Amino acid sequence: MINNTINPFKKITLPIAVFISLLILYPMVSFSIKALSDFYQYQDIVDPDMQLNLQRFHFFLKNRVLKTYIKFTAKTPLSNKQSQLKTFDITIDPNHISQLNSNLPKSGKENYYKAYLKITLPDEGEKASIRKIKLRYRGDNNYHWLNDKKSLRIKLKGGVYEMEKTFNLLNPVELSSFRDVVNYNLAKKIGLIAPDCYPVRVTINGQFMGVYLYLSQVDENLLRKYKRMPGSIYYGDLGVIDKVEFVWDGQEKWAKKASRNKQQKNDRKDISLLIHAIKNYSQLEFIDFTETYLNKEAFFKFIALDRLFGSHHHDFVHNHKLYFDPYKGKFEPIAWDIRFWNNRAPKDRSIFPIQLKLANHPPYDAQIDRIVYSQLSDQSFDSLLTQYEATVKKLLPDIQRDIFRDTAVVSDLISKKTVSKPFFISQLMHRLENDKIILRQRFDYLKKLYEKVDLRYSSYRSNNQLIINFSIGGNNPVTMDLSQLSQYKIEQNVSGKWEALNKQFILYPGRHIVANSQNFLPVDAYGDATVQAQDNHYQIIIASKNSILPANILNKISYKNMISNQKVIPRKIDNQSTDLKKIKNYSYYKIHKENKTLILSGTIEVTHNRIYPKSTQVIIEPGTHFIMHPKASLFFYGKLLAKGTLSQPIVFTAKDKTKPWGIIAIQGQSANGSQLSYCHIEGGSISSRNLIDYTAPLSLHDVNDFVVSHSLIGKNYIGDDAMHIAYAQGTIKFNKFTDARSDALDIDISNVTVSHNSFYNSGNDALDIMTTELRADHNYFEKTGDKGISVGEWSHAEIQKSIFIETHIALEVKDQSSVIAKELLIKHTQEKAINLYHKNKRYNEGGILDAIDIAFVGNDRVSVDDDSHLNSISIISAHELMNSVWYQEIGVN
Amino acid sequence: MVSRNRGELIHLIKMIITINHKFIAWLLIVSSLLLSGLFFYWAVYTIYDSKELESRGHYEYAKKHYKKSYEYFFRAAEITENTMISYPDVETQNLAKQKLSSRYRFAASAAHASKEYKKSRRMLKKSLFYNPNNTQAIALQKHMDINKQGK
Repeated sequence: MINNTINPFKKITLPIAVFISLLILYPMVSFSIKALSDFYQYQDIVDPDMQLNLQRFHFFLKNRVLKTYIKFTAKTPLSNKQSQLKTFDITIDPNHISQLNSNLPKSGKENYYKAYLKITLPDEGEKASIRKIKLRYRGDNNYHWLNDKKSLRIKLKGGVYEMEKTFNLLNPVELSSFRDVVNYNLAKKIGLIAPDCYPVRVTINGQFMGVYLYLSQVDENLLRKYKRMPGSIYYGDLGVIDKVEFVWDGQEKWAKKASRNKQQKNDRKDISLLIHAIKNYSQLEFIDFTETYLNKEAFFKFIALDRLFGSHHHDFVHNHKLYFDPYKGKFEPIAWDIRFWNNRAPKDRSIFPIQLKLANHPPYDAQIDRIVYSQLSDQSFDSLLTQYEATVKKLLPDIQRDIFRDTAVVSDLISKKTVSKPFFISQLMHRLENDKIILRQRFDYLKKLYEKVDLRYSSYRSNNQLIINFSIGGNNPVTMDLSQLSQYKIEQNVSGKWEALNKQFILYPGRHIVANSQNFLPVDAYGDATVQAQDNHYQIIIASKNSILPANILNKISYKNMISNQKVIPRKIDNQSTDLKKIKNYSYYKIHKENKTLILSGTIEVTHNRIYPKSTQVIIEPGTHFIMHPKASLFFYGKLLAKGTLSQPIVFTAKDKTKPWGIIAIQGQSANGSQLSYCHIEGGSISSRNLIDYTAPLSLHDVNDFVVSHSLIGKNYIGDDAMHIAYAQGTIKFNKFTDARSDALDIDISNVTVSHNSFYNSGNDALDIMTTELRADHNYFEKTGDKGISVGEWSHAEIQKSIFIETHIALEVKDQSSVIAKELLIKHTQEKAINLYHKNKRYNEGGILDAIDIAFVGNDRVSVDDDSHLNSISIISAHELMNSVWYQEIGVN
Repeated sequence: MVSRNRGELIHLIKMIITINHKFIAWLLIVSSLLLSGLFFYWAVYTIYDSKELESRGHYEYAKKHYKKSYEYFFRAAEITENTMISYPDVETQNLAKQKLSSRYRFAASAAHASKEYKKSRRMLKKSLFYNPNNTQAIALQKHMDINKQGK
């Protein structure tokens, strides 16, 4: 009796046993049903060809079981304050979520839905403000939108976050996705335009959705953040979802995502030219194209990053984002989705047409290699790994609580498309350790590659001269130093003729593109060709002018590996046969021609455009008179020294005063140090060349250390500005700007000193700056159609000792710009004396002003909007300023 | 004859149920438990995916569990070999051959590390069959030839 009551198992009956069995079997059945449901959802939305089999059922079943296990074992999510990550709290109407999910993937991306966002910094607690946003799902692949944790694109309404109006919150694609943080940081460090990428937490309607990656949108805002002029951005991203197409096959395959202005929204001249060059130009023609139209240093860095990490994520099909700079006239790559690290050979695993063409030119390839080698030090390696470890450590407490965490995989047995599965933290940590090993192995592979040199030589004496034949193969060029042989005549064989050699001479190994040599990646995305090394042969001759060559003369030549800078000892080969047809000469690899100087003087009729190349320094003598025919322009790509005198100015005038001439352009880094003084420029207008639109009769773009002084910049026609400066650094002093059609002096993204100038009767602003560091003093502004000085779009200016008379507004400070103003006399302004405001909503705030000793005569209105700050203003009497020395100086000027 | 046997079987079952229904009840519960246990064990611990097997192989190799590592690499290679035939085009098949060659080479390295040289040679042979240019397989073979291992 007692036993019966204590032990219920003895009382078990068949119906009870059936009931217990059903209970035991229920989870099995339930998981099986869910697994089948997941399978059919995947089949329905992603891969209709997929048929159910045991392995597929097993895959989805295992996912379900692991997800449930993670859900029940995860700890409670941290509060916003406890977490070390920024938290993005999103509130959205559940009906909107239903609409987003109604017909995936289309429904997720076709419309944006209204929502609210609160961004909390780790230490900020509840102080964060709530912003209005619009959101939708993003991403082509199913791992972005099929599962619980969806990747989001957020658009802020009426404002920016960290200068970004649109950004992405990504479900990290795979276990190694957090190394993207390292990849993008290095891209930024070496000077590429790269989106911000860092881990954040996301909640939706209070539900903790786990750890995401914040990723900037590549758009105009990103350009502005990197102090680039808004211009075309193209996405070459056809994806590999259903059909593989080569994005480099036609300009129409590139989506234009930003433009210089609204008028150029559908203008595709730039991308058309690039694709034309890639498809049609020979190797040598493409080198010329590169020198003109590519920001080659940026492309070298872009390729170097892929080379460093062994990434294969840039190909013929996707992941390319290009920016065309309207003032430099050059394409620049934007770092995007490097993603992979690989420990294996070959040197280049990302293969695409520009990479092939640049790597095929030995001097370019060497420059790329030098960038890679500079990152191979133990210090760089440690820095990368420390960043990676720190990123994972920071997000670890949150990802442990992330019940939706998953990683995308491609499995032969499941589908040809990616499929997501949950992961354990141990797998994440294991991947971190594995990635460290991969990177170490990659670095070791590259070091070994860059430290090995294959230089051979043979020599023979003939008639008191020594002839040396060199053969060089492998990856690395060698710098040959001949400085110890200065007393001898040294020449190289150039196509059978002998030409004098410099003291330093680089022996480049050859490169050639070999078809059907790419067999490590799918040909339909990477093509079948790679760049391979080949032997190059050089021949030099050392001859004595008046004595016998010493026996040890060869020992006086030193050799260095150009990439690693290590000393090299060439291998001597006896009786090396040299096929003279194979001999390369140095000039084959020389990009720039020999520099020359051209002197211009007298009266010069400019009937059509004149172009002075990079290699030509032009000196214009005092008193030179340029008679400019209608639309004719002068383009200086080398240094220009146009120095007139007070009595003999250099004059640029129109042949026919009723028909404006074009422009004077000083363009590019080879023109650094250009100087113009006592020049009279009047009657010019606009022009364009090499895809650059010049809007002012005097335009200086991408030039450092320039000086424009004591010149008269007179009336201009058609264009916006009388003088335009962009991406430049220099001084503008003692000039007189009169009767400008619109702005007299427009400065974009530059660092300029403007002093002792006078501006009369400008149609619009006298001095207009954007994203510029300006020091302005002793300037005089009279009668402007709009502002005396307009400081806008993230500029910083120090303005002092200046006079503003009868301007519409004397000083305007706007859009994240700050100004320190001292000793300004502002007389009789028409609308406002000073205006601080937030005009362009791509910037975080309005203007900031610290004003000291400002004197107003007449209108003294200072206007400050809600987003701007007048930190301080001290006002003194006009009389005090007018008695100062500088006021008298300006008067004299 | 058949109906008589069936009748006897039914009679026997009825007898067991009537006489020992507790045994049946327990049998039912235990078999459900066993079935469920087996099911979840199969669901969680079985690996069909060749990539995952290869990854486990690397993991065990790093831990110097070479025999286990060999097993994983070998199974990964076997699965690839079995599925390769279904690949539609020559290019994909060629890529699969390269993958297969490298998986057999991994298996050869694991066998070599556990000093099972004959096994290692067998794996190398397969590796070089699928990709005669597999430089790492060639290097291992040379190393084994020099040291007269597995001959």
